[in-house]
Amino acid sequence: MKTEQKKRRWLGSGLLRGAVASLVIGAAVLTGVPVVSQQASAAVMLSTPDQIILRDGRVINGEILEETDTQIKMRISVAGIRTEMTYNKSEVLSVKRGEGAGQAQQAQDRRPDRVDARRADRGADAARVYVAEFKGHFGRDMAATPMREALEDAARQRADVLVITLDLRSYFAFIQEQRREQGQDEGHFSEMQMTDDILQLLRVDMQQIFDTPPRVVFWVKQALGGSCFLPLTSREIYFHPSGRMGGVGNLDLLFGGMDEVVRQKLISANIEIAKGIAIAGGYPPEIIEAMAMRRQVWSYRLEGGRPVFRQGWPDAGRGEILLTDDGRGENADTIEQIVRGEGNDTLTMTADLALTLGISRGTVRTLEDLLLELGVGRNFTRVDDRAERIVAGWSRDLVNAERRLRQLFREFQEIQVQGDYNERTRARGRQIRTLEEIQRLVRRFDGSINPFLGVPPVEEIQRIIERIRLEQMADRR
Amino acid sequence: MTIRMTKLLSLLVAALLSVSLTAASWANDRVTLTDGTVVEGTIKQELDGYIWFEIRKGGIVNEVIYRASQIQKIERNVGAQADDTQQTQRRPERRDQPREAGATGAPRAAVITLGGGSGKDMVGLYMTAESVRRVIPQLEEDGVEILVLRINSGGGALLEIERLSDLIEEELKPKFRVVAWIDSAISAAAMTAHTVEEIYFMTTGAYGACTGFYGASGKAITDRVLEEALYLMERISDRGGYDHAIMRAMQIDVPLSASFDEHGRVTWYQDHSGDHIVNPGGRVLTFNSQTAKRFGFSRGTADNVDELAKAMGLTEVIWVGEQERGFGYPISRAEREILRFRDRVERDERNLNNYVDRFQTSLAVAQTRPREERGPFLNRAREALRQIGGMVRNNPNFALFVFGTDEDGFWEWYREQEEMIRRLG
Repeated sequence: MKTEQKKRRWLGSGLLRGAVASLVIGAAVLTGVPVVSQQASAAVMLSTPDQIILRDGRVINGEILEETDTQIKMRISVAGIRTEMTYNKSEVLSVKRGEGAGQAQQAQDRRPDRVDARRADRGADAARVYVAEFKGHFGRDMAATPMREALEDAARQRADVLVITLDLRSYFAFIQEQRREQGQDEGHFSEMQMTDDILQLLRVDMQQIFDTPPRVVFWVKQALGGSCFLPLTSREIYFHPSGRMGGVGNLDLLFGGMDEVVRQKLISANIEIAKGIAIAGGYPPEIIEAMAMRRQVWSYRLEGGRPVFRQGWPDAGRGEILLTDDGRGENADTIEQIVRGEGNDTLTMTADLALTLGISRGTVRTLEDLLLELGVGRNFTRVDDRAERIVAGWSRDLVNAERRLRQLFREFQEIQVQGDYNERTRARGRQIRTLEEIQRLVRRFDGSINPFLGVPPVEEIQRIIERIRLEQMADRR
Repeated sequence: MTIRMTKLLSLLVAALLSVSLTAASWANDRVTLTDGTVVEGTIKQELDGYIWFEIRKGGIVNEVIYRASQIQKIERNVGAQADDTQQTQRRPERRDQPREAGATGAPRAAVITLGGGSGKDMVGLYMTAESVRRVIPQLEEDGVEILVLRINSGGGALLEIERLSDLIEEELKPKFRVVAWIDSAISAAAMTAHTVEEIYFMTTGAYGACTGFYGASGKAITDRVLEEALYLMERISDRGGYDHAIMRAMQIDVPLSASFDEHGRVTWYQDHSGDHIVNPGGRVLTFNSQTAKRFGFSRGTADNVDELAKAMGLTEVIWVGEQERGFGYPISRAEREILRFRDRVERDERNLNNYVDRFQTSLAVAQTRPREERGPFLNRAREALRQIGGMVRNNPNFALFVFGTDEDGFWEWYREQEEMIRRLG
């Protein structure tokens, strides 16, 4: 296939795609002892690598660098490329120290010719990886249209693995920028309603778009506002080390001016709908309350590496840890904390916390690290040539469309209906054509158009068109 | 006030309590319903006037629940059946229908949607009794025996709840085994679904938040209006076989707790005295798929029709309709009609201002012109009036929601406008 030839194709060192994790070569062995040099670590590694077995069946060989109550940090290596990975202990079935040596040595002993032979054999088996990166503001740079187009393209490319990378701020942040307002972006739960169409794509339409639905993986660099709900549709969420997910913590402060029981009704409906997203993704629904409700206090403790949530202040005797406080008085997050995503009035997950809570499966800095984590290793083919054009192209087209809309509306306002009958008729024709072009552009970008452009909504434009037509009917030579 | 009532936790529990059966022979009971339907099968359990009745048909075991008010006569041990194919519900209106795949013995099921989510979901506008009533003949022609109402609505008008409930109770239940499949049933949508005994959730499902309020002011309904809403839901709870306490906790700020007995049956309490707090004070209850299942309100969780059939205990089923892109269930003729209805309502809702504006401005301009020049303007006004009329014909509730009058009042106004156009011409 011509397009595939242009794609970057990495064929791993003869490792089976699905089993790559079980064959990776470990690094140093002395747990807790910093490795000074790669050479030294490699030497030790070959004699006594460590091995962890994950609950999903993957076997990871490498060097355990650090182990805490909740996480294990390992250095792993595939065909000479080293990377550090952090695993949540809740995902770990067993830890074996120094027992992967045999496999590691075996892997090192492979002759290049044998490796090359396997590489050739595996060419057809290479995982077809499609990466779509959404960057900017939720509701603007990520909308249903580019998501659908990306999914359809991934389906055409017969992607096995679909990586959706999110680096999105909230829609509210965009609005603030437009208003040139400075404020604290503390959370905007109402953006959940903007996720409807995208959730439909990910949950329902996906089954029809793909003959065989791919493995969908979310990689969270930043998923704030409404976008924080999207990763929950997948059972595979990974974080970038600086990743944050949340920014929806104001549900219990909404609906002011309504009777209290009506407020409670609306809060109840919204929170349970949001919990449904988490439940469907296999995540604890309690995280939704912690993310959404600013006045609620939540604690958790780890049992067998898995979090157990409880509403209320932590009981140190039971090993509970504060997750979110009530945000009142001196408990209120400071601006510094909010900006850095370190507040705890509501839950906005960092990479470490997401890992601890079992939301994230791992923390990875690069796409290559992510693919290693996914067990794809180096034996994959990128099939996302068009992804950038679709996703970033949408953002560029949107900005261009807004510029064009301003220009068109200005042109419309400047059209003078005057002169003789024919001139007036031509002028009205120009008015209508201009307005219809505005309608076409607005419809194409639908809810993503900047509401501060000063261009009337489509329905209002239709009314203006109707009136111009009526004026034309009433006009006489 | 403490309201207590027991409810079966699951069909599994009922099966454990029941008499053991063999495929070829089992105790045979006969129930005559008040609508004349005679059903043969096995009474699995009786409680507070309700009976849990097992019906075998073509090797498929279904369990239905009948309320005391539905039952005219019960005959026990009327004779053991040697052949389970003789065990059928006698519903003459359906038995005569041709069934393409009936020879397999598998029941025919169809999904129709009440509310389409994403803005096309308001009860009373997009989810109406009338639109469902129109498709009943198609469902019958297609030999549908099991009707799945897939509900996806954020609520709507109180006035439509009773109409929908009556339709389900009086027109759908006698013809079909009616099942509610909850995508999202909030407020009026949940109050409607409460008519149905068999409720299943999607994993993402939510059900509840039924507090009545005035949209414009955000004020909760009170006094007589509130009492009527509470009473309405007590009656609808009876139709579905649900403890009044559940819906009450969804309507107003009252606690709800529950306890399980040794058979897994749930007793509900309108306070905190149960073993499990379902709704603490200070909140209005909404179930999610986990809580609904845990307390036996939902009979199962299913995200597609295969899972739903399994949850319903169907080993075989024929889903009527065709699989289409964008839909997670087969589209039957009836469902296509429902979809068309909602599309039309959406188009009308979107263009409503244009219809009215075009009508008013065309008419106004016509009145300022000499009679011989009025023709084009009056034609335009007439066309806009027809669009308004078509809108109300498709969905009579537009008369109330848009024009603040009932259907008769609207058509009276419509005829006056026609007459005015005629006089101006």
